[in-house]
Amino acid sequence: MKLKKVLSTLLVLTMVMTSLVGCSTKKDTGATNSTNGGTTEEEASGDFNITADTKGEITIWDWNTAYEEKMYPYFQKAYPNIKVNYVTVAHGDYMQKLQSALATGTGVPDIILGEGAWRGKLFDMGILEDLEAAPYNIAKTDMFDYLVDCMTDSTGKLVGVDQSIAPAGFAYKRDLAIEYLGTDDTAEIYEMISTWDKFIETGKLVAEKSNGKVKMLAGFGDVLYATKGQNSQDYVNGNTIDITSRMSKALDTAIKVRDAKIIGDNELDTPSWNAEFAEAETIFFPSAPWSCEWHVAANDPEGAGNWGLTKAPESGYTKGGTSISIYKDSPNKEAAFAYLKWTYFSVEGSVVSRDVIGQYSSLKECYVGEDAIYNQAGAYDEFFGGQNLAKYFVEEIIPNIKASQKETTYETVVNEVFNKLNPTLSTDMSLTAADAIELYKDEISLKAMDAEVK
Amino acid sequence: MKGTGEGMKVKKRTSIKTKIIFSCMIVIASIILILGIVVYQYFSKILLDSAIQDNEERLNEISDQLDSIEYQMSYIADYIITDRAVAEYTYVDHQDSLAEINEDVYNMKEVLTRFVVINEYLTGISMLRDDGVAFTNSANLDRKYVSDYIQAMLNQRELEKKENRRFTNVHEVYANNINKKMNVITYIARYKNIKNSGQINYLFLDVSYDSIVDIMKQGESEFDSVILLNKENDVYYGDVTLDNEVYRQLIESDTSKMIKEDKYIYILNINKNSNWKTIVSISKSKLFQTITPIMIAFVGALVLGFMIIVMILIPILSGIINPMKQLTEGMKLVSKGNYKIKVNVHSNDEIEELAAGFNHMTTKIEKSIEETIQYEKTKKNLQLELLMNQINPHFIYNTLNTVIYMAHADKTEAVEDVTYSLIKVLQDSVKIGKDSICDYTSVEIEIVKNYMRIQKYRYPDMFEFIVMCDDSLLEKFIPKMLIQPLVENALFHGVCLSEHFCQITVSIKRMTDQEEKDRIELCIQDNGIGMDEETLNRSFLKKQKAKGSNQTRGIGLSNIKERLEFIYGNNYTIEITSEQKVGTKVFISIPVLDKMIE
Repeated sequence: MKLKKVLSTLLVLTMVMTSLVGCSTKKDTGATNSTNGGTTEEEASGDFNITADTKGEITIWDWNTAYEEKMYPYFQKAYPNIKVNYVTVAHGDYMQKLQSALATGTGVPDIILGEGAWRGKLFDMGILEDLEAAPYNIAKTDMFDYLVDCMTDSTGKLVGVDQSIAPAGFAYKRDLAIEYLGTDDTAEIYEMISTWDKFIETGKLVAEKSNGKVKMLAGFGDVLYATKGQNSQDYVNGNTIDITSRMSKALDTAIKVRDAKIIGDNELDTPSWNAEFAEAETIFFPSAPWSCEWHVAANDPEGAGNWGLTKAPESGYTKGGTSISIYKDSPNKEAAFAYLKWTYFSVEGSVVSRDVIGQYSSLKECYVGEDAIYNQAGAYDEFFGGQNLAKYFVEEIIPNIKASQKETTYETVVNEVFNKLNPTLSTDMSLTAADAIELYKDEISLKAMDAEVK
Repeated sequence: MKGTGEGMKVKKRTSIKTKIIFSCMIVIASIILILGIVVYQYFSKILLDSAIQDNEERLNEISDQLDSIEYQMSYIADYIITDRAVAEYTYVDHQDSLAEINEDVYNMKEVLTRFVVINEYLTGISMLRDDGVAFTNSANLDRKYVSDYIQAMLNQRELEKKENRRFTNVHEVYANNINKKMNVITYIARYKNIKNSGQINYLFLDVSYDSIVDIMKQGESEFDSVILLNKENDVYYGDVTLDNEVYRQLIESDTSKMIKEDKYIYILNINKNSNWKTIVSISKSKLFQTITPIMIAFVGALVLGFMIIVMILIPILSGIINPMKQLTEGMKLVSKGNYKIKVNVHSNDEIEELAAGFNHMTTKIEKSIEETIQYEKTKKNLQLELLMNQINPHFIYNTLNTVIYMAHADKTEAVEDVTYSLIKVLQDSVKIGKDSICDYTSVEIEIVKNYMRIQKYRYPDMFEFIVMCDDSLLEKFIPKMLIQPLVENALFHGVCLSEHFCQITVSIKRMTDQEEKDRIELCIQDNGIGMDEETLNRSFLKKQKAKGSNQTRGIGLSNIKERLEFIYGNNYTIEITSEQKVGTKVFISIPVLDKMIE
């Protein structure tokens, strides 16, 4: 055991030394290197000198094994000397596991993922590298504008890049659409649900036609998640949480939809909710690009070609989305950044990502000119009846996203309360929007004792 | 001697050195072989046992890892059961409202997650409260799913009354937040709420089946097969063919044990805490594979040891045997007659003594041969001396009788002449012995002449005596008493018996032989009665003694031959030819001697 300790200490020392040596040589030789054409300018200001020879071993906690199984082999071809250890950690457990790793000081991953529900809390922990600064030098202007706030902490630092763009539209089942809406055309369907009022009207017609069997959405969570996203705004001012202005409209709309009895009773993301994808009982499923693989194709493997994508009522919003950050005490920042950049924020990586997992980078550069990545079919386009999903998301939905907000700890608190109250709000039909706001206020007050909740 | 010499030649083909070394090698090789076989058997058994033991230890490691899962689960279960927050949320003191239940479910989610994230094996926790409300840490599992999930687990096999904890069979569950199903085995704990012992709750800890597979995969790389069963003999891992008698026996066993079969060794290990059964099989050939290199090294060491012994032994044996070889060589030379050989051995052992003895022996033999030669020589000389000194008294008596007779007849001159000659003859006798065995030819001629003068008075008008000698030979040497006895022979055996006047001739001539060396040819010839063949042979072979009164000394032909042989070796010839009524001729050829021979 003693030997092991000595060995591991030596190993760590060696790694630190190597990275130090790596850093110093970078400064000396940086100017002569031009493998990554186009980055020469940045190198002069202390950019990482990342080449195919860059070495390192990094650990990443990810819940989506597709990156290890499908993307990693391509990454290894580009960087044969970087080894990535994937640890599968459920996003529901992620924060607690990360907190215990930080507390014990062992096993903190080099690359940390941030899921929408708790990203604000993660960002406020101050453990993530500022990717806008040297030696990372990622420009905010290189990513989709609507995402910048989602990747920025409360101090204004850019601490992550998006795993992939996550604008949400409504995926629909073509057979049910034809049967109950009379068409499976994307534009025509959007016309029928372009506002929440139209959505309720259409839903009532469907309920009538199907004797109440067919629902517009699988559960209350789907509605509230959408309206909450559509009504994003900065509502935290110092210690003041203005939850009333943040959630009033969202709750109003959602409870209106709930009371119209046009949605199912499945809790969001539960097995029964997932099962609805394969059942002929629900027409719409809120979907971001990642949902196409994760929810649609996974839950309805027989449904290839029977799916279409349209816009959500009113406006676009962000569903899910995961920030990718580098741990500030990582001993392998260079390798970590090589992985981060290639996998999530480079043209080469985006092409692979499109082809093997059907996800799309938030790097604007990928969508310019004839080489724009959506000019070739993505992995799930065929599943959606040949619809060009990426083009639709980028050209139709993203411009439609009206607002976003900075990620703060309070946002995470609000998300927690959202998850906690959803089952109650969806089942207790007696609760009004005003009641709901009060519940929100109470819960937030409990969880954020130091804040003033309005 | 010839036979022995051949024998030694045969021995040389397989020398004593080869024999000794060969025998030593055979003995050592046999000892090493026997020792080797014994040690090999012994060690291969030990090694095999230790290889099995290694495997058992490896199996124990695997079992310990598995056991640690049980240990960790029971520990975590204890923590959860005694956790105050858990006790609070799972305590039912009245009919809860839906909102309150939702509140409890939500809070429990957070509490349970705390336990999940600190354990690598744990993938999820669920609980069943006394009032039927189900809890889980999993954010995406609704209560209905969890209730169904729990019910399915409890239906697998009912917990017996006293059995509060056990593992389920392998089954599927939705992973937390991951829209995928995964395999788990669940640790079920039945307990009483610490706030109210009347409430029976159930705790379900889902253990990642993959982590068990990982542990078993480690084992699979070392064993030929691995099988994992839980206490109730549900198969967790591996392929159990129950028609295999060995497996049946092992599975039914309550204690860890090992069964050795023809090709495989089966080991059953029952975990201490969980009572899980791990069964592995190891093929014997695989076990032997691990010990084969050691055994090859062992045999190699034996062979190497043997070679080292040989390399050390050969010089040592050579050191011991080489003196013997020297002795043998010495012996060979001795057998050829070389007694001057000395063997030089300093081996500080019996062989040195033997060599010393050998040297002593050759010295002694040499000395004794010399002594023998000397003795023989002396003996011959003495004999000769004796013969020459012994003048037959009859001769003196006869001569004196003649003198008396002549005195009576007043032949004064004759008396004087005979007496003078007798004195000369007697003087010679006195001289013999003091000098050597040879003398000047002239002296010898003189002696014969004196002798014949006396005989001429005894046998008047019966013969004439003629001596012819090359002048160059007068000063050369010839054997003493060579001519006189032959002339005496001619007188008594040829002339005296003849009825007519006879002649006795002595001629001494120098001749040159084929090798151009000077030789003396001596011829004593008479024309008396001659001899028949029988008498001739007798005169050659038999030694004569001065029996008759006529002979001066006891010197016969045989004595003459012996003396010639002694002086000249083979380098002489003597021929006697005789014919009855014609006469006898004695021919002698000898080398010319310039010096006196001692």
